[in-house]
Amino acid sequence: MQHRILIIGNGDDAAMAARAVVAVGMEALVIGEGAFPIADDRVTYKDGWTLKHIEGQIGAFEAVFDTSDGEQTETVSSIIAATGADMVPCSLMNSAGDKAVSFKDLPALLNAKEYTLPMAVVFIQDADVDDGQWVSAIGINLARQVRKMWGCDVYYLCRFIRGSHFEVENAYRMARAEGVVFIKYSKDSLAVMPAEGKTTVSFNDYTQEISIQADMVVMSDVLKPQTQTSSLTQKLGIGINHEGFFQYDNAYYPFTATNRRGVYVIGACKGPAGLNDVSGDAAYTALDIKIQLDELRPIADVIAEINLFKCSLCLTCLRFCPHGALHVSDDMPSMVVYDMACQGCGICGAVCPAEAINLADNGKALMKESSGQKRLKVYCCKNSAKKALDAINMVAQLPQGVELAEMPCSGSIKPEELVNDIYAGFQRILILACYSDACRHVNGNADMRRQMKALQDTLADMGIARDSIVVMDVAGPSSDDVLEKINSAYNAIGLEVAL
Amino acid sequence: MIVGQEKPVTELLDMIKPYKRVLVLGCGTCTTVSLAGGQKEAEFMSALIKLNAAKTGQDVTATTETVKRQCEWEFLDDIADLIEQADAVLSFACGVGIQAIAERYPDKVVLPGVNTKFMGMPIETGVFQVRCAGCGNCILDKRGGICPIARCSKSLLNGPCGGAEDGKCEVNPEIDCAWYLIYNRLKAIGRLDDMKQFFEPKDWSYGRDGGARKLRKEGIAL
Repeated sequence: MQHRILIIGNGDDAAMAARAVVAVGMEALVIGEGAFPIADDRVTYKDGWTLKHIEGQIGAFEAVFDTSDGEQTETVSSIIAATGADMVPCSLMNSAGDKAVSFKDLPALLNAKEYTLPMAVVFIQDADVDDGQWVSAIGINLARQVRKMWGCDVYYLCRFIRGSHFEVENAYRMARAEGVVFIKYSKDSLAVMPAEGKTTVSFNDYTQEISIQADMVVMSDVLKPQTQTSSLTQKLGIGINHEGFFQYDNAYYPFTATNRRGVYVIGACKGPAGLNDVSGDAAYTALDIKIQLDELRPIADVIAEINLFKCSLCLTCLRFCPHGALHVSDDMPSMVVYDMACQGCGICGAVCPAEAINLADNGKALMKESSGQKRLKVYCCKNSAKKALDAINMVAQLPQGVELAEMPCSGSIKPEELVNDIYAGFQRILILACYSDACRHVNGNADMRRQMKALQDTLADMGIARDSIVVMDVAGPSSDDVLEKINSAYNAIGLEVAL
Repeated sequence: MIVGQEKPVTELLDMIKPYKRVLVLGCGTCTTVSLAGGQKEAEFMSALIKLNAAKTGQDVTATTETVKRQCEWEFLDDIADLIEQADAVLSFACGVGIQAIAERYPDKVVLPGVNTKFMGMPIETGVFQVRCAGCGNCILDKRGGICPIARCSKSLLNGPCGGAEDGKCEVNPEIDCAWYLIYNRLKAIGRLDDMKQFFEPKDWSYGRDGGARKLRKEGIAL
């Protein structure tokens, strides 16, 4: 079957994505505004189409577009967002006078036929924020061109040169050999002021105050999210980071993957880090899509099942699912689970007010049964605490009276389960969750903590100590930390803080 | 939907104190959707009742069930056995469902698990807001689809009070001024003239006046 991939965006990043998609034998449907540089039978470009919403899952997303001919629906196997970002001048440009240009505008000057050649040019990066590798890559190569074409003094002011990609390191060495002077300036010491037909750039290089009279100052641009980013992430059901770019940092969604299976983000729309290796990311993404599509199967061992007799269509699961795995079927109507999208976290089951959603055993498996002497029950997230305990095979060595249960995500815990544990005789319950910014299911930790806070309040009203339920964050590689936390929770039994 | 809120657990535990066999009954419609009284809340309450009984040395059993709608007798008849076996039914329905049980089972004690708050909708996950006051004579056609009775803190029918600031109500700055919303919406749909439609003081005989209201559906009612 021929796979067709939707690529959103028509800039350089989208072009790289389209080439990578075609290179592994798939087709691309590209949408954007304006021209698109690729003419290829396997690439269909739709100028002026905008995404309205998507439904479905990897292998068969239904994408609905607004077009000049009205609404259009296309079925695509996977989706890549590569919308780029806005480049805006850095804040120092305002005070720098007319001798200042941005990285973006310099190439036009270099190509201009008539231009008064400057004597000294100062490049500045990291003025507003610590710029990423891509800025160094662009800036150093521009500095080399200026040195070569204009033959003038070239100073390159920076705080950091990051050299791990793009052969930045090599370009840096070449630039120095060619006579570009690199100077590291201290934070907040930089000032750029117009003065008598020139521009004065002053700064502290950690040893002394330095002032350079420049004929031209070239400043790095700052990457800003496009205004459409927020609405596009909502339409795609994927994350947005604290700076407003696509997708948050999460170890479970490496490179270009997102919390929604089959939806990827590439390039500047991810922010500065997205530009480190766009062609590599594009190639990886195309290959990952192809491998998954060629043999499409669920990624979770156990997926959510909905009891349609109990379901009240309240949509709570739909609102909480971090993976876009639930939808309202048109023909029933009823809630349906996308089997290829569900990641088996069980968050839906924990929030369902009708108890209509089940994972087998609610996803929780016993790892070590209590010896009848019920003291501490430990819920271990399988993505962290379970791994940590398995790694050192320590389960058997835990103290008497400890029962261990594995859960697919801390977000799958239901308050009544814990009440039943206390009823069964456990004196304390310890929930070992992943750190919230490393939660495989994005909001699982936060969802659980809200529910636990409410449960602790309720129990406190009944005269049961709040720290009967303890929540701790752990990481998979930290076996010692996990053991220590279990032992400390165990040893503190009987020492509960009075209400 | 009818939006409910679970009563504090201590109040409920106090309420069921005289009874040994308690049926905790969820409702599968409005209070499920408003996250106050579905099967989840009923099971949670049952677990708390058992725990409290164990803790205080009482002999109490709690069973849990949920019906599609407590406000219709047909659904209540399906669980007649369970209701008969219980000393008291702790209902997690709105006030309508609670009364339906009381009417259908005249000799049975029925207790409210939920405070019925208002008719409204979720404005974000887990946050509900009132939309309708059930006044019995709708004027939404003239008020841009935004109800001044339910959503203006003073239920003003003919324009704002003058106390609003930046579109927010003087009673509580977290509440949008209903008249600010009405004006903007009428403007957006090109019906600002509706603002000039004057309403006489509200005739509450359609609503809360004249005793318990009853509605006869002509053509259907026998």
